[in-house]
Amino acid sequence: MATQVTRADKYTQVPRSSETSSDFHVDLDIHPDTLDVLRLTNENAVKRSIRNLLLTNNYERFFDPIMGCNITAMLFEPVGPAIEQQLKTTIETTIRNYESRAAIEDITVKASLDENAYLVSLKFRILNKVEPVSMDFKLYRIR
Amino acid sequence: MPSQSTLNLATLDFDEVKANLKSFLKSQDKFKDYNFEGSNMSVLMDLLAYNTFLNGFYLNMIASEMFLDSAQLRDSVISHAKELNYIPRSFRSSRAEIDLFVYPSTNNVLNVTIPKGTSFSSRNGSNVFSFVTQENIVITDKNANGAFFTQKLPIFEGFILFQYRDSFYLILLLIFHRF
Repeated sequence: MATQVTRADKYTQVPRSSETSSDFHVDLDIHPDTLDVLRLTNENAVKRSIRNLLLTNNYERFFDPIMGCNITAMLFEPVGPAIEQQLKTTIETTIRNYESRAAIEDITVKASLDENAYLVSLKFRILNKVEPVSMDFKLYRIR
Repeated sequence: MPSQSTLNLATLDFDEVKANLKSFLKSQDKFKDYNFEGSNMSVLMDLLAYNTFLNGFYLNMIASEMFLDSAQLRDSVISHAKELNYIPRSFRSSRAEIDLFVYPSTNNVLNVTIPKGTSFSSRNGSNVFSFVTQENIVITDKNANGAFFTQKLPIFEGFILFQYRDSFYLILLLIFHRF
């Protein structure tokens, strides 16, 4: 349905949404109307990038063996405060080294002994943005 | 930005290949808004660059192995040498020369033939070594005791696996396998 553009619409200033970073979905989903690849933008793109970094183990990437977190190996160890601290350091170092768009403000890693998992809460600020972004996720072994 | 029509792949360095792929895709209309540092896209770029790198390396090796001057693998050099009618030296079996006496069971024997590949066994301490003859030997010399004898008969360690015969020069080359 076509909407009529009024005179007010024409002359009213609308804040332009700036796109600083973009990426596509990992499963290459297609937009049903435009039939183009669906994209993640700004905050979502950075979040996805951080998630990918955390899920990457060392020696997985070609010609960059130290890229990644090696979290899988840590999750094999018994749950405890030592691994909590190791996880925190590793996540912080990896994001600092490989995700220049995110400036970390706070990381908390909490062991959940009953679930045999770690609850990670990550707070960061995207480059040139004022609002902080938070990410919460659970790390646990799948096998 | 005008669309870049060609992709520069004339490099063997992974990072350079990746940078060239990026600049090529950035110039295309389809990908002009994409951030090529984005992680999902970066994974695909890594794969493309790695594939290009492997192909480049493979072609470079093929090209260098095609010529005698630049070949690095021994098999390639030997293959090129064969085209020049040259057979390179290879591992050789140990050689021994023996004095052999054969006592025939009957007196009316005129000569004794030792066939090619006849096996001889020798012992050095607890080690046993097998030797074979390289060709048919016909012994006609007889001593006063009625024994056929030959001196300095050459025998070679191992056994014959196959023999190579050159069609032009009728060179017989025996290949021995050493234990």
